[in-house]
Amino acid sequence: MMSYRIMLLLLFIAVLLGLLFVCLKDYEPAYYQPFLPPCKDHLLGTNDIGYDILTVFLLSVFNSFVFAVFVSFATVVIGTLLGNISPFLGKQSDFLLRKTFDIIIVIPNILLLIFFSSLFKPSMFVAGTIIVLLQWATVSRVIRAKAISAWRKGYIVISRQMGASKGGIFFRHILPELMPVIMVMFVNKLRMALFAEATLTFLGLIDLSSFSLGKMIRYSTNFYYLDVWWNWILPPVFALICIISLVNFFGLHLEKVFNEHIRGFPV
Amino acid sequence: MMIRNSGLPFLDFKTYGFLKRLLFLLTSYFVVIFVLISLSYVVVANLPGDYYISMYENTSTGFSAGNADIQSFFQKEIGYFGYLYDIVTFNWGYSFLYAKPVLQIIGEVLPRSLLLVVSAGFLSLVFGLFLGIETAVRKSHPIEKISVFFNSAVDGVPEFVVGLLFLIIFSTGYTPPSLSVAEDYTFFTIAGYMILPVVSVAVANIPGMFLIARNSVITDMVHPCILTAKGKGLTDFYIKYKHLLIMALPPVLSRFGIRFGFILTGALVVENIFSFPGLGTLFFEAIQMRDVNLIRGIFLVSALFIILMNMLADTVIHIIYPFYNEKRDINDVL
Repeated sequence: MMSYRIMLLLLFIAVLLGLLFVCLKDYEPAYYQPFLPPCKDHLLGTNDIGYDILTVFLLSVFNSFVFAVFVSFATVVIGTLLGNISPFLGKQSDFLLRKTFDIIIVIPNILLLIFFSSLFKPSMFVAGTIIVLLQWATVSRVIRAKAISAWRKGYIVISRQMGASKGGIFFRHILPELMPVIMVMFVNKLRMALFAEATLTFLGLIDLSSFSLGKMIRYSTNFYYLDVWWNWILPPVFALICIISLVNFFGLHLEKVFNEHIRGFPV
Repeated sequence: MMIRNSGLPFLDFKTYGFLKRLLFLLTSYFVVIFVLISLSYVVVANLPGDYYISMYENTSTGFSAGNADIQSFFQKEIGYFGYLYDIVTFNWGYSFLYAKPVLQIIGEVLPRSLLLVVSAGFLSLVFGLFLGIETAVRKSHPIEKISVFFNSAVDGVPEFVVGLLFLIIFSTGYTPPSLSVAEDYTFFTIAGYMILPVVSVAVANIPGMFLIARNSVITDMVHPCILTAKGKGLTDFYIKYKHLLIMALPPVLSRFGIRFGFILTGALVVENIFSFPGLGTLFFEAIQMRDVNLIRGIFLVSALFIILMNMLADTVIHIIYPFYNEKRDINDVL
């Protein structure tokens, strides 16, 4: 797990640097001479309209990551809320809810997103909202299964019989019990959001006024015949791979920690 | 003993129950098809602009914006039920760009895309299962550690990133970059042109299959039937590719069904990178020209194909394990 910590550190540094650039440079990089090779002033050279590539790169990493965090956070919050109302419902409405989850899960997410974006060219915010609307059901289904098994546990049943209210039990016992699953789902959705955002911006289907890794890859591949592979195309590609694998390792690490935790305290 | 009757003379009870459960399992797919068709109607009906406006509004080619004939040709108002009827009767409208029926254009390029998608999906499924079984039975072997590390690292990397990396590495003379320049189609030329797109879609999707197959094989290996098979003296190969494979198949197939949407959209994007003359290239051409009917047709065909593959996966799982249902909650990733 050493590699995981190093990568976490690298991502942290990159996001911090991006934040620094956002604060210092007033969000818009200055113009220089276009197509400069890497030199002392511009470590990765400059691009076709004279932006410093390193600045653009850091801003893109920052933007993509923040977008993914917001989207996955919203997805997990909505999914957790809707997954948790099942135990409060009757059998019929629970069945309807479960069927709704099934239907939303079967809808081909990215394809629908591409279809919608190709016709409307939405902003980042609207695209994020659509991703949330298409993705919450996968979270809800897992949370629902876990919540139902949690409500059947011995100590919950006993505290119900001793007169504890349902809401109190939910916040005291059920939510902490679901926390590991919620965290793992959050990490999965983070990866999903990164994937969707990169694909859509690479295709140029989201409004391209803000920086992102997919947009950077898209614009840089327009100039593939020039000598820009090493300083312009490959940094965002490797950054995307690194962030996604980092997120994967973070998820595996979380699962390991929570499994040990669960094994340590048998209920 | 009372024998329950299905009420139908030509079906015995067992088949009746099997079909009933299968139909119940597949209802959500029919609802999804309906929802997607309705959604495609609603989205297109609320468009801010169309082909007519984007082509002719700011030009002086003789078409004024108020020319009612042309406008009514491009914006035929048929209503929701008329649209449903048209979809069901395979009358999907005309492409503005090519001035041909949408289904005819799609039918011309569909076989190439299907070949790409199906072979990529098949490759990722087979390789994922093979690697998963082989590494699960070799616990703490260096090869297992390396492949688990590598696959966990690249799980979920977008297809276009893999495609770009392959383009950087291989497109400098090792393989032909595009299918469109082939003069005669033999097996080897087609394979040569398809190898990079297929491999890049498959490589992006193998890790997901691998991890889920390995997990499921590891949990199945402690099952008593495997011990019995070993006690009977069956060969390792037989145990691995008869018993373990069948036991590991349902979660992998269920995951495959969910992932298939990603495989297909990934293939559409990768086609664009390698300029493979398939559905994806056509799709992005149509997007650039704002050819709404063609966009909608390609979307519906892809969505129907994804749902069909989901149905197929569910049916196969249902045939292997008729009561396999809830386990897929736990294996839900992405």
